[in-house]
Amino acid sequence: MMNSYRQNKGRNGRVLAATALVLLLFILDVFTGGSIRHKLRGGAVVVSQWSGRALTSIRSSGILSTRASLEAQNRSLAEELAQFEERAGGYEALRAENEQLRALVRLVGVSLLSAQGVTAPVVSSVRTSPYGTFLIGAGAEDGIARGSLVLTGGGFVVGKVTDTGDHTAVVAEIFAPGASIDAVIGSAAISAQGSGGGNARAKVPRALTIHINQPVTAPELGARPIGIVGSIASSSASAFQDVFIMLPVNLHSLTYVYILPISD
Amino acid sequence: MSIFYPSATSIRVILALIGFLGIFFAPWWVPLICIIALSLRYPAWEVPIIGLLMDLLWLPGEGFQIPLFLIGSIALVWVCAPLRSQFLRP
Repeated sequence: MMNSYRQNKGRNGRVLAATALVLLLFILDVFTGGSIRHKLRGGAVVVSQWSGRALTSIRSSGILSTRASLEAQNRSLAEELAQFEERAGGYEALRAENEQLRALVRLVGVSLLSAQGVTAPVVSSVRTSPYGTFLIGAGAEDGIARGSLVLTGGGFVVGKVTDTGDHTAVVAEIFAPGASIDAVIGSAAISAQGSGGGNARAKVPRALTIHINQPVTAPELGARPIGIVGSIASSSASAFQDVFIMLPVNLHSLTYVYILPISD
Repeated sequence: MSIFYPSATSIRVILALIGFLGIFFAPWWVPLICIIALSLRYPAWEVPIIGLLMDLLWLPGEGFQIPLFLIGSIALVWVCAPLRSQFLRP
């Protein structure tokens, strides 16, 4: 009985020590402005790059060649399809923007395309984070600041930089689970509720005509496109229709992103 | 002990390793499963550390964010302590 008590006490003592240590580290990290997390993220980037190289060398060595080649072919075809979809979505967004600009009599001189940004590699999967975030391999020393917009190659906003280290930054998805953003579909103002993985949903009055692949823009992000209408579910019993918004590019296969400077 | 019947320590080490590697490479529910399994079966000091690493790595860092994994892992490992001592006595 006594031995069992001592054993339990010793085991729980370790748990108590670990609990105290993690709480201390967390508080220390908060009070030092994230010094521990920045070092950890730097390490994660290095580990990610090493593992990426190791995987590449294993694939190129010929082991699992049949399966690997099929997987690679499948992946490249899926990426190609996503690129085409993204281009089509980008074209729709540009067309809609063009129509809006033509409708304006006076045009304020904006230089959206003149902004100089940074291209950064995505070093983590969006599936890994429970908070709808991902890591990129560029940070404060590369000119990235909190609040910078993160875009795909097609110009769709995927997220915002929320924390920066020296050479790493955390990006929070626009459509992170539980996040909401005011957006516009055609002429209808909506509130899109993020569900993660580049998907969101919104309730729109049934009287409004919305079609598939219609671009969705966010006024608070400089009227940039944040997605396209993927599908619409409406019922005659309801006054609203459910609009499912998606990014035209697969967020999981995103390898590089474009970061706009905060001044933009 | 064989590869088909691993010891309790081996299982604990394997679960902890999967948990630690899962923080960086696996979907978020993999470390979560490891945290739950470790907490239920062992007085695992690894559990709060996995929770801390998850939150340090993935919390957005803008404004106040509740460190769900850290709080959850600490709560779980301590809530399961009486259960372990009651049902899993050596």
